Amino acid sequence: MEIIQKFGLEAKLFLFQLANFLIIVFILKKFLFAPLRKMLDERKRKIEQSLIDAENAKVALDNAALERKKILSEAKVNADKLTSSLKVAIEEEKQKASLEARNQSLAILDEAKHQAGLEFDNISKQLGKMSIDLSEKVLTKVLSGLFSEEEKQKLMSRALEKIDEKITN
Amino acid sequence: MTVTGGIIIAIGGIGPALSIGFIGAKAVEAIGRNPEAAGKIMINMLIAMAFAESIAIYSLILAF
Amino acid sequence: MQISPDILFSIGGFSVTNTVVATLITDVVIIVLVMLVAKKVSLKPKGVQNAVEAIIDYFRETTETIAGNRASFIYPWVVSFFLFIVISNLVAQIPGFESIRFHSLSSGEHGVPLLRAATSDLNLTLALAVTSVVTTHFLSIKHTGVKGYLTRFFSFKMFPVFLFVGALEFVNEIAKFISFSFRLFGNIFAGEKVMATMYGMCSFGLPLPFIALELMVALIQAIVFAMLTMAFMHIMTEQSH
Repeated sequence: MEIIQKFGLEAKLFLFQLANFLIIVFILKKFLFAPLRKMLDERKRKIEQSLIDAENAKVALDNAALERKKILSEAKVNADKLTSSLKVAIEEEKQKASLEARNQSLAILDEAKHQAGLEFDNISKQLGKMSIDLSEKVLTKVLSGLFSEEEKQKLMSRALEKIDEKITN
Repeated sequence: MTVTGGIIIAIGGIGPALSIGFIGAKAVEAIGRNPEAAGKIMINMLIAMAFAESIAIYSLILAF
Repeated sequence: MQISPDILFSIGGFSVTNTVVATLITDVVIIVLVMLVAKKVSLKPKGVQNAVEAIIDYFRETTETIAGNRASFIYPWVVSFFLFIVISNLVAQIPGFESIRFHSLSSGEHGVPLLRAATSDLNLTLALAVTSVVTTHFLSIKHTGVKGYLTRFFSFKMFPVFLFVGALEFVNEIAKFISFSFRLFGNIFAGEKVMATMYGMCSFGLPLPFIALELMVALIQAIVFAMLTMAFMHIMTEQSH
């Protein structure tokens, strides 16, 4: 076994190296692989958890967005309804007001017309009276010398009749 | 004595040298054909080369 | 050319070689790393934890793509092999390895190197190989049962042919010890000798590309060892058909 001598193989050294390596393997297994394995599992779990969380958050966000849309659309509908009803009310009010105003103005106009008619009547009556008086006076003045008392009477009554006829007409 | 060792390792090295060359050539060819699998091919290449190499190692022992 | 590690001194019959010292340095580095990471394992990794986590994650994922749910008991071994080998390989690239000399009673005029790459000692690589193969067989018995394990080697179906195949499997398992240990040992030892030669030729500038090569070899050999272990564990723990 010249080769063994040449390569420096020795039982004690060999056993030392064997034991040494086994101890190293033991140390690595116990203090490196086990904690790292645990940590990796933990990390994996955490990543999965956060993924699930993110998914949940996304769903919640979507829901919130949907809710918001719904509320907005509802509010819009409400507002539309309100504005339309308001418009109608305003229109009605306007119409009512204008109608009233017209009525009022018509009433005033009628009143005024009526008043004017009465006034006119009065004035025309007065005027008629005045003109009769005047004609009476004129006639008496003019005819006093011209006609006899009898003729005067006759003429007078005829004239009065005519005037009366004219007035009544 | 020295001459014997030289002859042993020279003759014993021919086969492994050729086979390692073939393995390397084929591996490079495979990587060229499928560059994404370079990692896997590399490992298999190394293992195959190690098998071929062991023949040379046996002759190396005898050469001493 | 001397292949065996140099003995620095001996304590009670146990000869402390320079590779043993390097192994202890590797142990210290690993323990410090474990302490750094395990002391404050946080959900948000930073610094060292990030790097260690990336390595472990990479190997676990690779193991999972190959071995499926059996990865849970395979990957700790794979990562252990990788970390131990890559750290001892990289520690050997620190300046001072091979160059710091140690004078002992039996050493010559120039003494012996105080430190030498731990993986350039066949004792260490053989220990790793034995651990890998024995663990693989142990896991095989544990997860496929004694019967499943034995039928890999002794099969009486189609009597003569499969008995021969079983015997070949047996030889293959023995060969694994040799190929595992000598691959790692040979690569690192050869790298060391190449570096020594380069430093001998011209110690300024010339070794630089070889340092890069050594760093690459350090990583590749660690990956190869870890991946082969994983592949064998996967094959041996698979339910036989």
